[in-house]
Amino acid sequence: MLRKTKNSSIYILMIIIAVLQLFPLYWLVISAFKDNSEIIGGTVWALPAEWRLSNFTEAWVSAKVNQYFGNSVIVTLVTLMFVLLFASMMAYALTRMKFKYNSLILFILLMGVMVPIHATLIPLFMILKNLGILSSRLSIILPYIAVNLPIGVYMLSAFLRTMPKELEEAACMDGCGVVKSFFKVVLPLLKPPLASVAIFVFLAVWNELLMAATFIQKQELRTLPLGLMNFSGQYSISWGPLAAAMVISTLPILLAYVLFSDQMEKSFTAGAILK
Amino acid sequence: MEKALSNKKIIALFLLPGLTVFLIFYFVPIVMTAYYSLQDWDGINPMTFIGLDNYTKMFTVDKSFWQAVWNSLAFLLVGVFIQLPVSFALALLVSRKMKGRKWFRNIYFFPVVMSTTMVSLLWVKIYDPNIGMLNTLMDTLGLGAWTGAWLGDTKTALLSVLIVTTWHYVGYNMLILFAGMQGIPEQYYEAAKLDGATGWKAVRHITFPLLSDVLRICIVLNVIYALKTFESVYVMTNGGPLNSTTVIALKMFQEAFLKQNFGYGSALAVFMVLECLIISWVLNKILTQEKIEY
Repeated sequence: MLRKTKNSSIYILMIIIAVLQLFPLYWLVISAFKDNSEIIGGTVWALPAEWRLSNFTEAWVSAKVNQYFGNSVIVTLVTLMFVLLFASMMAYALTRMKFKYNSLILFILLMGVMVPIHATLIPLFMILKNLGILSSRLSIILPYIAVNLPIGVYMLSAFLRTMPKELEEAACMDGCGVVKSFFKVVLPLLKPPLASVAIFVFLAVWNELLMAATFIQKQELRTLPLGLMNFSGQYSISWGPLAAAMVISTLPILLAYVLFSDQMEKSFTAGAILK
Repeated sequence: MEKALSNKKIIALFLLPGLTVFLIFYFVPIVMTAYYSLQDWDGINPMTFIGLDNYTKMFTVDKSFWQAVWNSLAFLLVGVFIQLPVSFALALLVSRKMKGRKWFRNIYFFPVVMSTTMVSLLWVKIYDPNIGMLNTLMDTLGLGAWTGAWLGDTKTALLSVLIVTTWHYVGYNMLILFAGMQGIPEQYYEAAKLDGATGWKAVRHITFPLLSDVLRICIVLNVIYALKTFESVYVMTNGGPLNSTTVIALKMFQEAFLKQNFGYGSALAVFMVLECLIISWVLNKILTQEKIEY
């Protein structure tokens, strides 16, 4: 009897915490379907009287969220591709190949895990300006690749160190060169850690604001976080369209979360242990 | 195989693409920041070498620098002494063998994956005196006397931002601690049960000591995250009102890109790096001293 009451009080506690975590998000989603009079005058938790989609069309078209969304997709995909390719190549070279500066390179990469990106901002601005790519997509893609490489290399080499060499050796016997055996044999085996790295990098890049705000000055190149911030300045009175834009920008994350929540947990814990 | 793996050309092929990007867009800038910090420079005209003057200004003249340091300290203290214990409690809750625990874990963790910009904009609206739900909610609950312009008042602004970062990140520590708890063998708890240690006693004598490594990681992570705080403050208050929420990263950003003090901004950036490195090094030293073996 005592156990039962204890258990149900724990359930109630957990539900209260869950409500505290979810209520702001619930308010965001229902606001996205309400108009201003309903938001200001109505009850906070009431569902919209009518599920209006006008906020979404306004955000998507008039407030150019479609453009920001597209920019974020391009920047994220390109960064992701290069981080995965470069990081796996580097991790392979650093764990399997024999050369002198192995530990020096690992040490330099470690700096990339430890030093906050804020410290690179001012010189990066000058470098990008001198290269003439300031305020182009490259001006954030290149730093994003650089920033996310170290953690990728560390996660992948940790995996490679535990992987037996037999398969590569067998491929070599069959006449595969190193390059060919890397792409045909090693990369497919790297899928699970690559998925972890991919999730990590996807979230980091999709959510990044500081570099985008510093290096992107053209309105048409803004990514979602930057676009949202600007949007909220312009639409300071109407919360509905902004809420709709925020819902849209979180959808890919929600989708990834529903599909890969286990993988996501793994990549977060792995990433944390590395830092 | 061995021969091919020590072929210099192949090694270069594998290393150089990534390493080049990393060096140019991460490593070189770190070194350049240190160099810039010794200059008086507006980013346009030629720079003049002024030695450690930027640092002298930072520590002695600039009052808002100390305000920023104190505010960062507030983020640090809240991270370690409020967020972490709450996360620990959450991790204990979701590691109990009960129905639906995965659901609760997912719900508590979800805010972590959302962008800080999003979360901050959402809370700006929640705190908004006109359309925000917080004041309306408090009115409904009969707490009308306590309502206010949360982010616009020097008395409540910092606390309001701290609440948001706590709300946003408790799930992160929870997940790491939960993963650690899963690694503790079940036999320990069973053995403890025979000795009469259940509930809180088991947590104190088994979970807590065996989790010390993970707790150490969490403390270091929280401290580093606190010292790096930028986005939440930038989006919610931009340091205001009256510098009451300003932090070092934001100050660095404003000095460099709004006031064109690139030299002084770089000195602030160097301060941030050293602060992060020294504090995490010290923490690692202190926290590894008392290692428990079973």
